[in-house]
Amino acid sequence: MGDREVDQQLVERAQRGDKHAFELLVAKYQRKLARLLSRFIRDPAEVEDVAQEAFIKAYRALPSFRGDSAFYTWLYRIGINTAKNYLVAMGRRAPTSTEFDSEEAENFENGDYLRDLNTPEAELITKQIAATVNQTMEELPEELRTAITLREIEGMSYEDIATVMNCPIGTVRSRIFRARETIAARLRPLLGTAKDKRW
Amino acid sequence: MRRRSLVPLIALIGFLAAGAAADPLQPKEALALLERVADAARTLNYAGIFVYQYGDQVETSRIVHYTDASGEFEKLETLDGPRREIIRNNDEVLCYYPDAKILRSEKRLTRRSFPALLPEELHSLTEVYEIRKGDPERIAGFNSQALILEPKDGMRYGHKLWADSGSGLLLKARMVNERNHVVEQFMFTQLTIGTGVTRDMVNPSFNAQAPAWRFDRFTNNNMAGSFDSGWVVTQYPPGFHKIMEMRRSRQGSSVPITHLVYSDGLAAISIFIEPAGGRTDVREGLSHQGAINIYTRTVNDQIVTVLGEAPAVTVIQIANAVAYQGK
Amino acid sequence: MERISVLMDGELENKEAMGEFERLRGDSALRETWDIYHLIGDALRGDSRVTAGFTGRFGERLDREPVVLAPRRRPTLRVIARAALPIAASVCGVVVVAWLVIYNNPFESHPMATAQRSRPSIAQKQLTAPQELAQVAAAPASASVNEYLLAHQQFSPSTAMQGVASYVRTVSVQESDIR
Repeated sequence: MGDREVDQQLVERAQRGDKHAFELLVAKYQRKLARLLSRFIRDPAEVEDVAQEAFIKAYRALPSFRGDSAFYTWLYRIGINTAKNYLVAMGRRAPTSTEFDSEEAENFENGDYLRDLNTPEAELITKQIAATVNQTMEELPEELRTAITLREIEGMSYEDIATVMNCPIGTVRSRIFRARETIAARLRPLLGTAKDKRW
Repeated sequence: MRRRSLVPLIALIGFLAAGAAADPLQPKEALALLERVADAARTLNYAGIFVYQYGDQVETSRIVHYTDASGEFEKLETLDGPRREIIRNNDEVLCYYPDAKILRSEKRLTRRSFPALLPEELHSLTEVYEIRKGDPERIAGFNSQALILEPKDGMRYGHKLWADSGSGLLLKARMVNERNHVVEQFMFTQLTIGTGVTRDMVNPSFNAQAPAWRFDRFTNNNMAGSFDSGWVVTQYPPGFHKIMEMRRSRQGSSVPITHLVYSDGLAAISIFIEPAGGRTDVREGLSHQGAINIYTRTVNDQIVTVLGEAPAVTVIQIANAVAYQGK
Repeated sequence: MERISVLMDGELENKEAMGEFERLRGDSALRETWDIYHLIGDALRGDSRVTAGFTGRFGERLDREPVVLAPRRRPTLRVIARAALPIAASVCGVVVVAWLVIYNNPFESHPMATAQRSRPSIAQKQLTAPQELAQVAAAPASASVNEYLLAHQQFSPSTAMQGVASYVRTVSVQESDIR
């Protein structure tokens, strides 16, 4: 089941009353959406508020999502509108339509927003997370590190990774999983203190 | 998601446990009961106090209904909070807001009040609601029969109605959402039927005269015949039918507002479309007034507002399906 | 847990994927794994932002939202349930009672018994406050819709059944909202 079908399944489950399914979509896209919004809204606390608002709007509008576009594309438009309305409500200049509707906003990948973190605590935790991830990556066996890098950074499919690494797909699967689980094991104690507890 | 398949399970368990019958009513019988309720509201003289609850709010009001040879008259007065009064004289409804000195008036169309649908459309009421009797209860000193209308999908609210066994007058009504939480409830706490109701009891308490008072009239044109506004709703939940289409305008303005009404026999949804024309007070998105959900969106410089006593998902779906197909 | 890893990459076979969705629905630890694996991916791509409590706060907000339901027109489960009832009722009181506990039906007058099985938190709210008045999550209407509300009321079947009493809906509004 491809990535888009996974999203579609989660949407359909949410449309049938399964709120957890929607939460999984939120977990998946929250940072991507926040990244988008921080192009237009400087204050990270406001970015979070607007992100929350956008997700709630998306939830309420779920019945009108028919799946003819990707979920994130739809969410992206809701995010844009929410940010727009927010800026107007705050009496700020709403950026021109070219800024807002630019397709490249969707592919914005840079990390310079990290400068503006509000609370020292949030900043510290983010730094710790980045440090932990990097540290663990360095300590991983080479084949695990390669596999997860090809997947997460190069965005390659399992099949292509198998070709590049000259191994069976099953091995790719297992290597990516072991890489993730090793890093996750180091992160869990950190996240406990981040009060990001929900699950 | 299909509305709780647990329900029939419970109903039958109730049957097993308490020995009370809970079979669905035949459509004819169900509709006859509903018509009886509507007839009673229209033809009887009655006066009483009722409690209206929605969300976590509670309001008490007095209502009087009087009919004679010259027509049908009603008066509603709120007894809590800011004073409000609604007077109905036949087809005219006047809303008095004495503290703000505003009088809103609206002319109702004369038509059969209930059922709101033509006979052939009424059949859909029984298709989208499962209707059955509930247990009798005593309300405001009257013996009542209960009628349960349970929706078969999540696009409408559930209803339970308690009507006086003797006269058929509605004593209590409850609207329930898909989580089985009560969205709204009306209940008489005091009631007299038939006797002791006089014409002066339906007179307005306030003498609303300009310039002290402001008048707002929301007119409707196209009283006769059908009107094609060019606006359509391309998708709406099963059981709903368009029952009205008209043009309106506000007092002192020539801006045309289109008003469509869809109903499934128990719930009505109104769709209003007006030009945006530089209005800055439009609040897009979802809001509510008690049990009525309201959804507003802008389509090509037109403001589309959909509202009705139905779940948010319904008003949203309908709003998203409003389109212009006229010339 | 490996299946979650494969699922999120869009590489899990359909049947297994459906199974995983079901598991995710009921298992919060599994959902946490989904969450943390996505965080790892984002961190590798340069975004390790953790807005402390985002998911928690959002989850609480989502809890307060009325459940969204999109209409489905399918042969209803209800028919099957009815047919199955004679069997279910006789099989074991536990099964039946476990279903009963989450259902405090305001339509019926019998209060429901408690059962031992734990259920999603929504069920608990129904139990503790029978006929609890619904939290209508959306924002209150602005003044400009007052005319609409008044115009709408004459077409509402509730007006046919209750007369002008049903107009109390349209006048339950704050003084300051009147334009």
